[in-house]
Amino acid sequence: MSDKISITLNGREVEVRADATIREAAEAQGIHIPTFCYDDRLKPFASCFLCVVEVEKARGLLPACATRVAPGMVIRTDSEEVNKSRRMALDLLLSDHAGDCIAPCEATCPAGIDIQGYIAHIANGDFEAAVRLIKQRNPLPVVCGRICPHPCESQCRRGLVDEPVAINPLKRFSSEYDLSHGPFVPPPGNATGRRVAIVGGGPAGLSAAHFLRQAGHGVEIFEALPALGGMARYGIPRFRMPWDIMDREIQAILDQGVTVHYNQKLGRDFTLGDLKARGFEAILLAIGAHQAKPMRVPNENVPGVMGGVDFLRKVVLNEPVETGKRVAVIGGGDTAMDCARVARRLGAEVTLVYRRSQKEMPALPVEQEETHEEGVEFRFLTAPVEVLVANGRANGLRVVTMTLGEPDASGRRRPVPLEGSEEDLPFDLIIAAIGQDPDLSCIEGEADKPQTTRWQTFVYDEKTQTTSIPGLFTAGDCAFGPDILIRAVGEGRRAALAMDLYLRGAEVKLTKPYAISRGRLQDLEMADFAPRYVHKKRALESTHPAAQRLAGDGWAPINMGLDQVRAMAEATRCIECGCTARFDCDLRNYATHYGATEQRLAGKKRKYLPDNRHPLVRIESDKCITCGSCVRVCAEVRDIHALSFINRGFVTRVGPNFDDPLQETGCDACGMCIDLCPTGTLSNNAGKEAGPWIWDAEETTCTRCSRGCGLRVHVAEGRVVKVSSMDGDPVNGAVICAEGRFSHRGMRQANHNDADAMAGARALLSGARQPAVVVAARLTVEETYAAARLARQYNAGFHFTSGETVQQPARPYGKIRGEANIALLTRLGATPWKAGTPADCLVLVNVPVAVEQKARVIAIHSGEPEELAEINLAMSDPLQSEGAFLNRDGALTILQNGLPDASELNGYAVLAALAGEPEIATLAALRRELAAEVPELNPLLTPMVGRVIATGLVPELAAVAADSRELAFGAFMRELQLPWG
Amino acid sequence: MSTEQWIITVGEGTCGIAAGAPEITDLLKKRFPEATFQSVGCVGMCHREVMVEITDPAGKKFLWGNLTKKNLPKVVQFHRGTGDLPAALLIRSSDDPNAEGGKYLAMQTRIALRNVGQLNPTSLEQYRARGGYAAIGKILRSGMTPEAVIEEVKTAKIRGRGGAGFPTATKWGFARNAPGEVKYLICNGDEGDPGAFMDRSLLEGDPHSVLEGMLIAAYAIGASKGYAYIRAEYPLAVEYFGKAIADARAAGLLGHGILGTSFDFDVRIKEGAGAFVCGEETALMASIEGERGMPRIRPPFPAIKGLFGKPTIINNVETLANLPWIIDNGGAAYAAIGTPGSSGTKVFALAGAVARGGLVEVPMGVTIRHVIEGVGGGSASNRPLKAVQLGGPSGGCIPERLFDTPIEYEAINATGAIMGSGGMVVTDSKSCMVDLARYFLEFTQNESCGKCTFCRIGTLRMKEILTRICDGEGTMADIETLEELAPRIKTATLCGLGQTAPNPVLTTLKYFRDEYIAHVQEKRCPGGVCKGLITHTIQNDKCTGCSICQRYCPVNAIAGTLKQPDSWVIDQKICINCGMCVEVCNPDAILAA
Repeated sequence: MSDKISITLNGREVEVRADATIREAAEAQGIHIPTFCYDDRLKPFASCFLCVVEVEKARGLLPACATRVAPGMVIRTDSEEVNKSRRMALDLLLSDHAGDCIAPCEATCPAGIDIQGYIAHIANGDFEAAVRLIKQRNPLPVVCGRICPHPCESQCRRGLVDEPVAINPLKRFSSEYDLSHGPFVPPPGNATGRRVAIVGGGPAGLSAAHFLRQAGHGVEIFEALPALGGMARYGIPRFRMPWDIMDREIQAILDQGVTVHYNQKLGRDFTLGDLKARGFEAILLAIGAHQAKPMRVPNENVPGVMGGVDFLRKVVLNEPVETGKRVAVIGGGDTAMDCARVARRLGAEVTLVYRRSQKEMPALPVEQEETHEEGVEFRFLTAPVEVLVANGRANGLRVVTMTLGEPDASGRRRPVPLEGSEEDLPFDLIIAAIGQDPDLSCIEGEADKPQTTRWQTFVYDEKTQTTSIPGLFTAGDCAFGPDILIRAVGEGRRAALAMDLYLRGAEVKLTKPYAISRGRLQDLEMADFAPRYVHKKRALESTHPAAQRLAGDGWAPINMGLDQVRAMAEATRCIECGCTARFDCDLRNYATHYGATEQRLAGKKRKYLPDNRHPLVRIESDKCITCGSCVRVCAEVRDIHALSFINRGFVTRVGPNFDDPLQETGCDACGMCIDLCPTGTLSNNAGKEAGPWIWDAEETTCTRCSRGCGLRVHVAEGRVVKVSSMDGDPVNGAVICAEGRFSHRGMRQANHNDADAMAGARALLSGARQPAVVVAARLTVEETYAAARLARQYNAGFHFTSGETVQQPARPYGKIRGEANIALLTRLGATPWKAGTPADCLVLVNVPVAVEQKARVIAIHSGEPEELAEINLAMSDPLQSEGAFLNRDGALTILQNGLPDASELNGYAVLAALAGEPEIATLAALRRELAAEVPELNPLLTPMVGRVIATGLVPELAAVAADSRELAFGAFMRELQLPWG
Repeated sequence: MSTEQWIITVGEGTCGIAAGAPEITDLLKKRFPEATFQSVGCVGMCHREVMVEITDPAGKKFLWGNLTKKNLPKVVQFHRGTGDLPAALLIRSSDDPNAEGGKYLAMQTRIALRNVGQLNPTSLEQYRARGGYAAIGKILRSGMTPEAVIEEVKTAKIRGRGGAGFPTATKWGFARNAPGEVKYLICNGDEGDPGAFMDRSLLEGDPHSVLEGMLIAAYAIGASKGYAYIRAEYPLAVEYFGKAIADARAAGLLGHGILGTSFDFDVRIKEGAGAFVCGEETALMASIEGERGMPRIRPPFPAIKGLFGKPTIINNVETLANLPWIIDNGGAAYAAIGTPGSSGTKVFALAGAVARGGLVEVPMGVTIRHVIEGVGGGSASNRPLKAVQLGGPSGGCIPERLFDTPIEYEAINATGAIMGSGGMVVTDSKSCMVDLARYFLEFTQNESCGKCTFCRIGTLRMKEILTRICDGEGTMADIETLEELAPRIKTATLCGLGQTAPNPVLTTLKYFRDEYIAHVQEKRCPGGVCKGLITHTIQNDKCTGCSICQRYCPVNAIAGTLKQPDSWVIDQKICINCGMCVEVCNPDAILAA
């Protein structure tokens, strides 16, 4: 019987393995079949029914993971029927899936900044990384940090516990830290040769410019005014938004290679047609909304009456403004507050006139307060009726008292004039700050005019920022209408992404990954969050007292923001409600792909609090989709049975047996359940040190025992955030143990070796009469060889620490303790170290001090310094090193360097330096010499394919003692009160 | 035939015991100290428990039913010649074997139930006296090969009585031919359908015939080990079956070298843990293996790779009980009963709105109407019958107009229902089909093992929708969602539980769509059941002013003056629509609509 059979797969006849499942056959043909419950390491379970395919003549759809192929089978993996079924499976799973895929702060932020991610960086003290993350979404964090009304904070889950995290002050702190230490300017993308014109250099235009440069397009900004910044400069007084830091932030954008044409106004100095003629292939209209709304009262066009934004702009432009003695500001928004405060600084007595009560006033409460403190008189329930005129100039305002009637469309109570309550108030200047509109007169002369709305904005697609004219995009206040700055930044970025697609000739379509939410803050229960956290007050940015604010000319910044210590403390208040699996959740990815939603089949959801009792493994059962992979890997693969299904029917879930703490169920913390969990149900109980952030993953080798298991090391911003097993790895069934997975936790690492210490160590060795080098038996081959060379160089004894007889692991796939393949050590002449061996100077490489006699000790370690050593030198942990490890099968398993800047700390480099042989301090040189000496290791010299490489070296297994790293890990586990060893 | 003495036989199955049989026995023992007493299993006439058969010294048999402490003296007086025949209590007698009460049994054909109610289930001798263990004896002594046994069963054309109706001989053939020294036979006695009790009656009333069936099946497939998976909620069945095993073993009918031949077979009881899903073959095996009772994907089929990875046959209790009869009388005789596609008889647990409920064994091919109106005596309330739910929660609802459908696998399947294991719940006009579907769905939802996405979550979503509809909050879109969900749940689940869970909804939607629409669009429950959609009112023209409703009303919502029919009203602000008043009102004066 042939071991291949012929089937028809998606209309193509293919040869496949006769004993393959449909899934295996499809994967071999490069066809991915989605699944939650299948993993190569487990028996097929067939429960999620996501992998269903259509098989001709079969009744219903079949699960591809568990159905074997048969000759002549006709299979479709992507028919409409299949996709519908998959989508419904996902709809059902989502309908019972709780959690916030992304934290609500990020979901609420119009620019979608990864707030949880940058707060985690701040908590870890890595402010630059925080800004790098922020700038992936917002190139104006300094500006936002000062003036953003932070809608994110209104949805902060911490608000259910005590008070929201001070998100915006944290952004301000980190971005201003970055500004004074850099600033970070991301390198522009490779030049595409395409040119884009941006009309308007405000937040939307600047944001678009930044992201277009990131994509490599040529960008030119046409700005009507003499400086960039738009409303951030011309609509916000500089005591709130200092110009010097704004200028530096804008300069960082321009430094990416942006050309700016100042004082160039659309419709006055050029037309859109001109731009096209000048070779701009795409144009962004980001002209803002700079035209004040009229009050619609008699005489409002006389001198002495002006719009709020006009007033603010004139002040910025240093144009003369006759404020006189008494100024009226009409309106209750932030612009009205700004006008009032500026007018105060210009020396006027200011009265703010607002037609509703303070409760309805839209300005941020803190703005209202500060304005009031600065001596502005508030007149509520007062509306202008007529501008009083004398000598052709306004000299007062007739106002009427209002009462509040029924709520209007906005939900606020409608003000109704009280008959007979008119009153005349004397004013020299009347500022109408009741809103603004885009000024669309600039496109009147265009031949090809984009469509506009009756609100004086452009007609545009909110998903792609496209206008009615191909190649013409719009963003910011002129698109949506006046809104907060961060919205303009977000739209600018979206426009840039859309324009990039347009310029590349691709379909202009932007999709967002599916994200589930626990709901709006107001609909959630405190009990779901509050009991788990210690209450802690929010850090406040203290604003200077009013007198200090108004001192001098009154333009100095009004508050100082947070300092480093308070920022880091505040960042720890974040409760990390965004899911740890946000970047690698299969449920989320498939939901996005198949267009599934939690609403379509909405109903009851299971509700459980997270189980954080195990210090390394967190279980969030309300995110569980009951694929059972965790239960099965624990039982089937590890034979531990620490997890089980609990309950029946809808409320079935997984958890530790009898809901005991996981550590009391026989769990040995291998964490394979985490790797196999397709959602965020099981995760590293890590906290902010693990983000979550987008990571780079390197495949490396665990050197903690003689197995040489494959590890996938996840690195973000130079930090190991997670270590996981490698599905499909040939060693140890692609299973790893607790030590392989968690050894990086609590790993403290020096980042360089003191030159004096190195010199001292060399001197010590040179002066010794009878030195000895004692190594841990489980170093990389390069380290072992470099240690052998060191021993030769100083004519020292060369030893490894032998130990007790080999113990087999208690459970399948567990760590093999006390065993090493010493074939190479033997070949290089190493002998077991015996207590009492005479030596006057010991070099200990990753072995604990075991000297009784009076010897001087140099310890080289990849963990804690040796207390008894005279000189301590650091070498990097193998997770951060390169090299090859000889495992118990005699194969070389390859280590990759997943982290930057660790090369000089590679063990072999440190040893070569100590030996005074800098010429062999590179991997290539060492390997050449090693292979010359031990020809069986010749494969080291050929380009390596895969992680495991066979050698000719016959394995020689020996009992060895625990090395320093092992002991340190044991201590770490003991500290966590976890069973280990 | 004169017996010269009193013989009193009491039905002491679980149902008889529940109805008070032990008490009646005690009383009879005082009245007839000279009589010989014997205890038998349930004869199946649940509506007549407690039942006692009294054979007088002249040999005349009288089968009495509905006995209570109160009416027993009438029977005693009759037998002692001091009273008239209490006709209402008599089911049948030697003088009048076709009395109205006797029709229930007369209209049946009893093969599986042939001994139930006729013998003392704990007595191996009585079983043997009625021809028991002759079949296995015949097989072993005559040197019938396993193939010949399979052939005989093939001739009988018997199909698995557990629900799916797979030909038994074919399944045996797979296991017989599967390679391997060790093979297992499992008796599936995990009867989980609400309202079904065929298996219990057999295990309690005639355990030896099931055990003999196991011997025959084990011999046929080559199994030397057997498991009887009996649900733990059947303590009497476990006890009697355990005794049957012990007695048979002592008699050389189980164990090594059965009846002096080289055939070895032994049986152990595994008490089921009370999960409905464990009636499913693969979940049942997982349960025996000590795992959580969760179904596994098929293939591999249990006949090839089953319990502990060995070829395994799982036969239902009823199937097994038929086997001795088939060997005794020949496969052809069995095939002659029923229809060509569905041979033999089928046992049903008849319940609901019928006059005579209980266990019914009829030949295949008779109509549903024959069972419900003939054996069951039609409507208990005189209200028109509306439908029958066949096959328990996995089955479907068949409307009254299709009652002439013959009882055979294919014809039943064509209606959308299934034969199932034999649950038959009859409803009349005062039932709500949406509520009925919801009831069964709630059952399957709770019993889902939680493994498959569509079963675990999908059935709950369906139940939630049905609840909305019953509460008057449903929309037409909800009905569409039901129709979208149901077929997917049927195809994208691993085992019979999920694959059949939507059946009650699908069949009620098919036959009673108007009721769904009435709930959704008119906010009306035609059956007067859904509490959110009905109000209870007293029809004063029918009311007699007896005040019984007032006494039973749990919330004191009813008030009126005694014997003044016009004065009685229900305060709608207080009424919780529990329906208690409807139940107790003799003149049927309370309207729920």
